[in-house]
Order: sequence, then C-alpha cells, then structure tokens
Amino acid sequence: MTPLLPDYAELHCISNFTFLRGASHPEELVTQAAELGYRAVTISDECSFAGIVRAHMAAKSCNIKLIIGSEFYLNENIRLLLLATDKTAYSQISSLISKARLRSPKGSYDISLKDFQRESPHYLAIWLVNDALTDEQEANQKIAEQLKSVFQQSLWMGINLPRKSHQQQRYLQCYEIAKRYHIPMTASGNVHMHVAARKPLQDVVTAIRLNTNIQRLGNKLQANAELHLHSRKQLASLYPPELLAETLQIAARCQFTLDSLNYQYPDEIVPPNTTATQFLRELTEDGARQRWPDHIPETVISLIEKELALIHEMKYEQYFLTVYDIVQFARNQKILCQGRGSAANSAVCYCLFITEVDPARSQLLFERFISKERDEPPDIDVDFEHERREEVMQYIYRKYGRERAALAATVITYRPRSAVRDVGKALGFDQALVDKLAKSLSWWKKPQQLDELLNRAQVQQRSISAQLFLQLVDEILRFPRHLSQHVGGFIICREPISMLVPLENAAMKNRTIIQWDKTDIESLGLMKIDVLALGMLSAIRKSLGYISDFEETNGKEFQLDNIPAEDKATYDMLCKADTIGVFQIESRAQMNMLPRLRPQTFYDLVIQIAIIRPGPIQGGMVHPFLRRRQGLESITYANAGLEAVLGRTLGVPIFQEQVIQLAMVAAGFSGGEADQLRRAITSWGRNGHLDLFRDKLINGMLERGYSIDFADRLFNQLRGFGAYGFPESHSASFALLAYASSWIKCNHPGAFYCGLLNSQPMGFYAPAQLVQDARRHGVQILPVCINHSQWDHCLMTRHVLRLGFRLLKGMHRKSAERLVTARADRSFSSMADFIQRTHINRQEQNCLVRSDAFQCFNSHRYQSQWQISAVEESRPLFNVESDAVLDDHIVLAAPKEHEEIQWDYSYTGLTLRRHPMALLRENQLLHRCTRATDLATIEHGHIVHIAGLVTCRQRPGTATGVLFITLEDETGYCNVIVWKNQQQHYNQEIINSRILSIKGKLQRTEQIAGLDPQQQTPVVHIVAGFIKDISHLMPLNTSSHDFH
Amino acid sequence: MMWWLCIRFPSLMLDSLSIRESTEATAIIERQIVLQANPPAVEKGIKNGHSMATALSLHPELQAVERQINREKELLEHVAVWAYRFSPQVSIDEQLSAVFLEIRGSLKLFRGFNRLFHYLSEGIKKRKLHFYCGLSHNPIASYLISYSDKDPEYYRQSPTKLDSKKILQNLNALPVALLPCRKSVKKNLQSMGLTHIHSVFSLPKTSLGKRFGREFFDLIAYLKNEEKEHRSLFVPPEHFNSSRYFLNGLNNKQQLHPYINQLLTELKNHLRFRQLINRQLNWQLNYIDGGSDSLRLNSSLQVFQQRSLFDITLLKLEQMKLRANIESLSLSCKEFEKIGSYNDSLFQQHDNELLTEDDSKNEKYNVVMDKLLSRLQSKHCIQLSTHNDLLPEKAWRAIQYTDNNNSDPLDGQATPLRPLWLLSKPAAIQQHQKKLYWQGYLQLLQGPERIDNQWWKQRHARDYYIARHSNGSIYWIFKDPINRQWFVHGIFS
Repeated sequence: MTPLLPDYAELHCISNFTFLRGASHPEELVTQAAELGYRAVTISDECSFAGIVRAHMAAKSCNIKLIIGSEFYLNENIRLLLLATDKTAYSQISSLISKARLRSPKGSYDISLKDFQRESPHYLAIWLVNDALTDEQEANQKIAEQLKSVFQQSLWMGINLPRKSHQQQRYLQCYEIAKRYHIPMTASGNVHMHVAARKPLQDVVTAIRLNTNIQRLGNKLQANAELHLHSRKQLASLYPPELLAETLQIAARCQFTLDSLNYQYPDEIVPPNTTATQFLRELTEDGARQRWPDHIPETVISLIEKELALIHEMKYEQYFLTVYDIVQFARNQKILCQGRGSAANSAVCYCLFITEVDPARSQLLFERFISKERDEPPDIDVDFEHERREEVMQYIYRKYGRERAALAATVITYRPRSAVRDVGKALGFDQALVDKLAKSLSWWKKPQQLDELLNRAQVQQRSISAQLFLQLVDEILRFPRHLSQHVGGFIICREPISMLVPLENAAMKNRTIIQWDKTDIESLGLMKIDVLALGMLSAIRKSLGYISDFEETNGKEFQLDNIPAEDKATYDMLCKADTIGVFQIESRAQMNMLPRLRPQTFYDLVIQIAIIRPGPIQGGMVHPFLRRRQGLESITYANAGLEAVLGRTLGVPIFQEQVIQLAMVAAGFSGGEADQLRRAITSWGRNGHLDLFRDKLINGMLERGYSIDFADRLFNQLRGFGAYGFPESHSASFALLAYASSWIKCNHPGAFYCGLLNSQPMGFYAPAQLVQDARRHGVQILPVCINHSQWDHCLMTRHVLRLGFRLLKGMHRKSAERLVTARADRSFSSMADFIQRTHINRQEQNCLVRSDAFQCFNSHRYQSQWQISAVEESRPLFNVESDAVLDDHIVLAAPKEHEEIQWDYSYTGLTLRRHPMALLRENQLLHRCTRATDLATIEHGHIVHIAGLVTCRQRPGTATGVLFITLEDETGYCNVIVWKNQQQHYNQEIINSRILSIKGKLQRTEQIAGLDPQQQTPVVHIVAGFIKDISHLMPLNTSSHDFH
Repeated sequence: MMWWLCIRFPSLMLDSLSIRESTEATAIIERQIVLQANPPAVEKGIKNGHSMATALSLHPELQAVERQINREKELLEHVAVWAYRFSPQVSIDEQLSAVFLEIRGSLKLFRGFNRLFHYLSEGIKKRKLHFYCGLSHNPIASYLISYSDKDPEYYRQSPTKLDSKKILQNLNALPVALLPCRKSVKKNLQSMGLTHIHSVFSLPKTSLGKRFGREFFDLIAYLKNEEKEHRSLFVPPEHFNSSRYFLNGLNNKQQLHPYINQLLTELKNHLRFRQLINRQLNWQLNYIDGGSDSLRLNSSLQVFQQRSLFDITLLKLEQMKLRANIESLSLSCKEFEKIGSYNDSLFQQHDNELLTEDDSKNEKYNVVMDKLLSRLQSKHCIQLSTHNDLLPEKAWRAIQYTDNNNSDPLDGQATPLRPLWLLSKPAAIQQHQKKLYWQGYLQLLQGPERIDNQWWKQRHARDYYIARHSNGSIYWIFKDPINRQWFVHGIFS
C-alpha cells in the first residue's frame, strides 16, 4: 500500500528578489508549491518584501496560502527567518527591514540581535542553523541562549537537510541544543529555486554576484541542486515526520495576507469640521465659477455631479484633494504644471485647476478613466517644470514627513544586453567576446538574433556549448537585478509608510524608496501620485514671462490660459510643418504628417499626437485615416456600436481606449476580459501574455462579420500600443501644450526661442538648429559677450536675443554669475581689466576666449588667447596692469572665416556666421547641389543632388530597417530616406560623416484635392541613391541626434 | 654636431602583437576605444579614436585586442639591443614609439651613412616592422623629421655634414600637433592660430615660455639646437649570455667539462658585479649539423656554489645523448634575484660559513632537491596540494614540485568528510541478493551526501555513503543516481 504523503508548508524560500541569490521568480515558487500540493508557501527574501506582491497575486490565482517573511544575516553571524503571523507582525518585520536598510548604503543592510529586543514581537522567528552552526558547541549554546531570551516561545530551529557532508553529525548537534534550550525543531527548505533544473542559473547568478566565473567558484558553488521545492514524497524520505508536521503548526499561526492591508490616505488634507466629500464639492464648485464666471453650462454641471458621485462612491476624495494640494503649491510658487492620466481629464480636475483640458471642448468621458468594474485607483500624473520639480518633491516631504511619503521603486531587470554580458562573463567567455556580443546586440538587433551573432563570432565555446549560453540568457531575461527610483511616483500614507512596505535608500542622496514598484502598487490598489518633470513646461513658463515683459499685458502676467483658443495663424503654421521646437509635433515623422493631416482644431491636434505612434503605425491606421479625412474614402461603420466607439476618429481606431472598447463591441469581450486585455497590453514585452488573446480577438471579430484584414490590423495595433500606446486623455493634455507652444512660436518667436534655449537640454533639436530656425523666423541672435551676456540667454527686445554663457562648453554657472556681478557697476574695458576684476580659472578663461566672447574689445579670438595666456597661473592675477603686459606687442594673424566657424562649433555648438554649407557653396565645393529651399519647386521623380550637415539619423522600429537622415544647409532641411541595401553599401559614409553629399530621387506628396495648391506644403523626401562623405571639406565638431 | 637617426614605429601597438599583417580586420583597443586598426580594419572605415560601438557598427566581425604596453616596450628594447651594433648611443622613447641612434661616430666603421642606413633598414624590414626614419642634429628634431616625406639621405649636405637649412625648412612645415609636449599646450597653440611649427618658431622664445612654461621653452630651444642633448641612453638588460665555439666540434661529453667550468666562472663574475644570484641555468648545445639541445636547470641555492652547479650540470648532461659533434656551447641566464646583504665572499666556492645553522640545513635540502630534480627530471618530482573543487577526485591533486605552497583555500567552507585514500578509478560494486558486494559485503552506515555538479562540462551526479565492509574496514562508496550503479571510491583509515 502506498504510504500517505505528508502535508507540508514550506517556510523558507528566497526568490530572485534576493538579488543574485535566488534563481526563481516569486510567481514560479508559489505556482510550483501549489502544484506539489503544499499547504502553504513562504516568500522570505533577504531583508526584503520586494517580491511579495507578485507572490501574493500568484498565490491568489492558484489558491495556495502565502506566508510572508524575511530572512536576515545578523552581525553576530546568526541567520534568522521572521514570519508574519498577523498585520502587526507584518508591520514589525517591515519596520525592521526599513531600519536595517536605511542605515546602510543602497543594496546593503545592517542588523544585529539588539534590534529585535523590542516590545513583544508578534512575528515568529526561526533560527536557520545549517551554515551558522560551528564545531564549537559552546558558541552554539551561547547563540541559542541569546535567541531564546529574545524570542522565548516564538523561536524555532529551522532544519534543512540538503544532502551534504556531515549532515548527520550536524543534525545531532542541533537536536542536542534544541532539546537543552527547549527550542522546537521544524523543517525549512532554504529554497533557492522552484525546480532542480534551475541549478545552472543558480550557479550563474552566484558567479555574477561574486564577480567571477563558474569554473573559478569551486566550493562556493552549491554542491548539488537540493535547494529546490521537493515533492512531498521526497520530503518524507528526507525529514523526520515530526519536523514536517511542525511546519503545519507554524503555518497555521501565520494568518496574515496582503489583502488585509488597510491602506489609508492622509487626512490632514481635509480642514477640520468638514468631510472630504464636502470639501471636494466646495473646491470644485468654486473652481467651476472661476472657469465659467458668467454661466456654468448645464452639461458641465451635470458632468460635475456625475463625477462627484462616482468619486464619492469609490472613496477617492482624498486622492483628488491631495493632487489639488500639490498643484496649488506649484501654482503659488509659479511653477507651471499640468495633470494628465486616466482621471486627470475630468471636469472635476479642470475645476480644481489640475488640468487645462476643458471638458466642454473635448469629447472625453470620465467613466473611461475611473472604472467601477476595474476597481482600480485613479491615476493622475502631474507634469511640472523640469527645473523646478525638486521644489514640489521637497514640499511633499515637508508636508507629510519622510516617514509617510516615499517614492515608488522601479525594478531594474535583465535586458538582452545585460543578460548577454553577465551570463557570458559567468560562463568564462573572453571579455572582448562578451563585449562584442553585447554591443552587436544593441545595434539595431533583437535578442533572437543572438544565435546568429554567436555563429558569426565563431564561438567554439571551449567547454561550454553555445546552446547552454542561449538557454541561460533566455532564463535570466527579466530577472530583477536591483531596485531603482521611479521617475516620480509618490506613495503617501496616513500611518508611517514603513508599516505598510519597507523603505530603503536610493542611489541618490537623501532619497528613500519603497520596495514595491508601480505594478505592485497597482495590484494592491494603493494610490500613487506621479510627480513628473517636463522640459516643455519650463520653456513655456519662461516664454510666458518674456511675453509679459515685452507685450502690453496691463501689468498682469501673461498666463497659459490667456492664450487664445483656436488661433488660425497658429494652425496655418502647423499645416506648413513649421514646428521645430514645438512640443510633441516636432519630430520628423510628425512634421511629415502635419501637411497631410492639416490640423484646424484642437481635437485635430489630439489626433495628430496620437496617430504618429507605433500602435496606429503598426496597425496600418494612418493611411486609412488620412484618406478618410481628405475625402478620398467614405466613412462607413459596420454597425452603430462601432460608430459610437470610432465616430470621432472617422472610423479608424487611434486611441488606446478605442481599441479596448472595440474588443468588447466587435469581438465580444466581457468587461473582465477587456480588463485583462488592457493589463496584457500595458505589460506587453514583459511577459508576452498578449498573444494569449490573439485567437479570441480574431475569432470573435470574424464571428461578428469583420474581415480578417481588419482583425489582424487591430491585433497588430494592440501590440504596438503595448509599449507606446497613447490614451486619448494623455494625448489631449499633450495637445494643449503643443497648441500653447505653437501659438507662442507663431505669435512671439523671440520669447519662444529664448524660453526654449533657456530650458535646454530638452526636446528634439540642439541649440544650433533652434538658433537657425529662430533666425529664419526673424529673430536676431547676438553672440555671447563678456560685457553683455548673462548665464541665461536674454531677450533684449521682442525680436533680439542675446546668447548667454550657458551655451559655452566648459563654463560653469557660478563662474558666469561671478563675472556678471563683477561688471555690475561698469563694463570691462579691456582684457587686463577683465582679468583683474574676475576670478575665473584658466580653463574657463580659455573657454570664453575660444568662444569669441571678447570680441567687444575689437580683439579676434587668436589675439585674445595670446593675451590671456600671458597671465601665468602661478602668479597673482592683480599683477596684470594693462593690456601691454599681455600682448608683448605681438600681433597674431586673424582667423579666417572657416576657422571662425570651426571654433564656433567647437565651443558653442553653433555659429552665427555664415552657414558652413554657404561657405562651401561659395567656394564651388558643392557641385550643382540643390539648396533645401529649392527642393519644393522640383517635380516628383527627378534626380537631385543635395548636401548638408547631418543633424539626425533615425531608424524607427516600425520602419522595417529604413534609415532616415536629416541634412541641414543654409536654407533649411532636407529629408533623406536610405533603404536597407543602400545602407549596407554606404555604411561607412553614414556612420562616419558629419557632412554628406547625396544624390537621389525626389519624392513629393500629391496635392490634396479641393484645396488651394498655394496653401499646401508638399512633403518632400530624397530617396538616396549615391552617398558621399564630404566631411573633410570642413572639419566640424558637430553632433547629430542619432536614435532608434 | 651629432647625427641622430630616429626610427619611428607608427604601428607599434599592432606590430608588438604581430597583428598588423593579419588578414582579419583587427583593432587594438583601450577602454573600448580603438587605438590602432590594421589595414583590413581601416578598409572597413574603422579609424583611431572610434568607440567600439561605432567600430562594430562599421564592421561587426572586427576582432578587438586589448593594448599590451609591456609588449610594446619589449619590442622597442629588442630593437634597441639589436641597434647597439650600429651605435653605442641608443635611446628609446615609449611615448613616441621610437628608437634613437647617434650615428655620427659610426659612419667611419660602416663606411658612410648609406651603408649604415641600408643595413639598419634591411634589418628592421626583416623583422616585419612598419617604420619611418628621420635624421637631424637632435633626437626630437629627427623624430619630427620622420613625419616629412623625405628620406634621411635628403638631409645630408656632405658625407660629414647635415643640411641644417633643409632640416629647418621641413620642420617648419610640420603641424604643431606633432610636437612632443602636453596636449593642453598644443590646444592653446592651435587656439591662437599657431598651427604649424614655423609659426611657433617665429615668435620670441621668452613670450612662448611665459605662456607655455619652462618645459616648452626648453623644447623650442632644443629644437633650434640651442640646448645640449641630455637624453638618457638605453642600458641593455642584465641577462647573461656567453658561448664557447669549437672549430672542429667536440664529440665527447668529457671534453665539455672545462668549458662548462669556464662559463660558470664567467657567470659568477657577472653575478658578483651585479650582486645577483641566478635562478636558472640554460645550457644550449649546438651541433655541427644545425640541430641543438637545451638543458634547463633550476637553482634554489641562496649563494652561488660553482661546484654544486657544475655537478648538477654534469648530472643532467649524463642523461643526454649527443646527436652529433658539438659546434658550440652557450650558457644563458635570465632570472636573477638580488642577493641583498650577502657580500662577495658568498661567491667563493665551498664557503658556507656565513650561513646560519637553519640556513645551512635549508641549503643542504636545496642542494639535494636540485640534484633530485636534475636526476629524476622535474616531472617525476611531485607534491600534493588541495584544490578548490567540489568533485572529490579533483579536490586534491598532485602537482609538480615547487618550493611554494599551491594549495587553494577552502573559502571558509567546512572541510567535507573525505577518506585519505581515494581509488584512482572508482571500482564497480556488485549486488548479491540485494546486498552490496565488493570483495565482501558492504553495509551502509551514513549518507547520502549528494554531489551534482559541473553541468557546464560533463554532469557528475553521485550519492555518497559511508559503508562498513565485512572485513571491518570503512569504505566510501557512491551510487550514480542516473544509471543506478554503485562504486567504491575510497577507504577511510
């Protein structure tokens, strides 16, 4: 008769969230334990709760009890496991982890026995004796005595029998101590992997942790693969039945589950003697009166009522009030901000001034953003000026204290490149080979091509098969590597946050993070506020300031909401794709779309922003939309349901929510399934679950009479949305900033470029291109000058901009400010005067000279350099009495124009002299090259020859290997398309060049029927046929914007 | 006036690793930056200064080799030693990748510059090194001149005089970027529009010195031959190498004895002069037919004992069979140690009086070990050492005898229980009536200890047990869990 299998609860598992020690995901451990029929399983990562939310979700789905715990290596060389029995115990362990982590640098912890001598611990403690027990029984007895005195009846001795040498002797030793000190013994698996087959990966992570390779690990390797979850039959043969039974006793005492965490929002946000509901209503109604001073439209009133009711029902008042409070702080400090995210574009948020998207103007529906069925917290991201976000973060810390507010973590996981690098090194590959493989992989390649790369590298692998390498790389992908700081996601609690989740130090000084990431927070339904940084907000705020300075604003500051809506001149500018520097629609792809889509209203801009995304592009939605918009294709709907979903985008799905709605309407997905689909979309690329929905979606659509073509396109679009999808609410918020920046550019170009240049680095274009564009828009740019420039660029008059010292490479802000202070009373009269009155180091003096900032003394840069170099660094500067001391009566030859241009580019990144291409053209070095501006007059299909500075090289993932190059000449930009075969042929020229000469076929878009041809801006491309690197004609220190 | 010839090696990094002529695109890199690319790599568009990412995007199959400065230095030294045959004044400069020779004094010996230069350039070509030459009155000027497109011959006015005008003319035309001075100085010069040497030469030295420091002032003065040469000369390494040649060849080992003694005496003098002690003796017998035999002897003696070394050499020689008549005998030593406080008397034969009792014991032990090693050959003298490996048969290993302890530390792990005697090959155990049987019945006492490892080579999975044999001995046996076969692996004492 087969003996009955023993019941068992695994009390000790570390997952891969014990970085580089555990070799299985928490979900794998939990699922495997459930499959083996365990009564419970514990996730007890080392001084960490980072993996428990994932384990909790997995445990719920496979219906197994999850015990939460954590193991610690104490300073006294004691290894201890703590298990949470109830909520108090959980909070106690969480606080202990925080304490141990916060007093150590990122990634380490420090804890000793005295940390446990606190008020009655609710948790259970298991002394993990295996490795700690020494041969000196006296020392062991001392530890037993200490532990017993601290934990008393809550202490167990955890026995693990991994079939190692001396096991029997060790067991007897343990038994003796346990008996003597009345410590009950229990089995504990010391599990590092869910199955024995993970042993190779276990060894590899050990090698990575110890920074060596597996061949050199010797005795540091686990001798066998026993640290996995055993079958109950194996357990019966390994452990005495009493030890197995004890695990069940302990598991029975551990009743805590993460579901019982009662997250509470801070309540100080609500004034005394009122409720959150009342307060939110008051603020909303106040705001509505400010937004519509004359008359609040009926539709808006009913919308507000509906939203407030839903917010009340979901108990989200505090969340909205907290965001309101943060936004209020920013507004008081004149920090420009704007909300976006699922709940941001609501009437309530508009009334609370969290967002500027007017619900009366947009067609957004609040229910789409707070879904009762989904039971998920609302999501409001608030963008702040990138240079001032820190002020907002410090306000949050001040208001709630560091113990109640912390940033969410981001789990940094193994990506193909790091996986190849670390696994290769662990397997003992040559460093050069590993580098080569990793680098080759990153160059426009996908991990699937690793196999091919290995073959190309002729990897003989000495003792290791390439197959093994590939398998291990595949296994380690997506393994967590360490915790990093989320870009701005704050968690704020009523109680100390460490009682909810452990805190630890981030790499950045004075920053603490919690051990859970965005997904964990979402899974547990906690509320997170994203405090994000956006460069364009800084630029707009600065530009608005300049407008206030130079325009008649009746003494009032010109603000974002003073920008008039639907300005025709602005839309006309957009239709001409004149959008360099404009938020979101400045990329080449967006600029190509603008003349075709021809935005005329705000909603057109919302679509324009969302349509140039991988989702709609991969789904093939762009051309159908354009054809319908231009009237070349009729707009039809298969049924009324589809019309409701797609009506506002002419029957073509463009926004993320539309695709989800389509799954319900057209493929028959239930609400729950649609929700799962949405989750799969947002985690696409991380777990590949999206493909599980493919058949259901396509079959569902086919059953309902849709074409296979439409169904396929929809599915492809879903994939594209995974990483880069744009919900309508985000697009609407971005469209506002796009419109605002366009309006400023169109109506106040001086203010626009000054704001933009003073917010660098940001956006798509370098200062060189922005300055060129500014000059084309009639803005006069004055050079950097030691007697006139400030640190920032200054708008001298509406159309005159003086460049600032911030442009100079190697100049520091403090030095520039000292310089400005020194000349506050009177300008510098000479080089000697400058040297005497400023205390700027030699390096920065050189930087000023080489940037030609001394031209106000009628001294060319060579002479200035000669003069300034005469001051010996070792001698005090005040010895310089006059310029005579500096120049020795030696007159150096002045630089030639091309030399000036070269120095300009080297030290300021741009030139205000003639464009280098103009100089080359004048010297007849660009044989018959057409200027960019003349391309518009050339017929489609003609062969043209162009030349210019390379400003951008882009290979988008959606463009099947096509490379886009942008060339700049003295008249504007040329867009070049290089097909794959030409790229291979001209690889050297493409990669090495700074100036290119290209011969190719001109392509231009057709005229839009029914529109005045004069008003249309054709989109012109050159399809490269012949490419020549002509950088040698003028060596320039320029840089191009290269990206995927 | 001196005549300095500069031999500049522009591909030293590649040449020192013999990869310039490789047909595969290869680049020398340092910190992921290409420093030198061989011609096939250059053909693919790879340039010095490229990052590896750029280089690989130009040519994914590029072979990258880390720079080895030591090899470059060795190569320069090798050339310098060889160049001694042309001049007693040789200097090397690792920064400039160049070797300098003062050849004015050698012109007569070589009957003129042309012959000397011919021998020299042919010799370098034979070594397959890429090089350029320059000729001037001082080494740095000759280095700069090596960048001009003229042969050294061009700069000779007469058999005994260099053409200073031509030298200056060509120096003037060179870019300042070539000047051997700090990068910041060169950058400063360029940012004044002083891009060529003539523009620097035309300025007053004092003004230049004020701006660029004393060092630069000296450099300009030196290039204008206003400063004396103070370059330190290359001193050849202290290797010992000496030979005896036998006109008609020797055909008997006995005949070698006096020459062996002579060479050892020479070595003794060499060591005494330098206060060194040798660690090796490398004898080479060159036969008339072109063949050769080598004898390598290690010495662990603390003092130079000529008699012992002589005896050890003869012992070794006895084991050898002469293959033909001996044309020459040479002795070379490369490894030396400083003898510290020992004085001259230590080099006297049979004089061990200055050693302490312990030293003396050790020295006797060393003599015995040296003799044993000579008699038995080092491959037959072994010692045991621990090895950091989980597989029992690899946890100990026999290694060639050395006087160092080569045991691996166990990294704080408890020493696993292992029998002292491991069978060289596990012996299969039979099963009789479900009992384990190997020259008697075995009864399991303890276990298993599971070893499951080396998945990256050949997986070894074993469950070890301690078993009592029917004869009372304690055996270490294991079961292979894959094919379920039992084996005896060791016997406990």
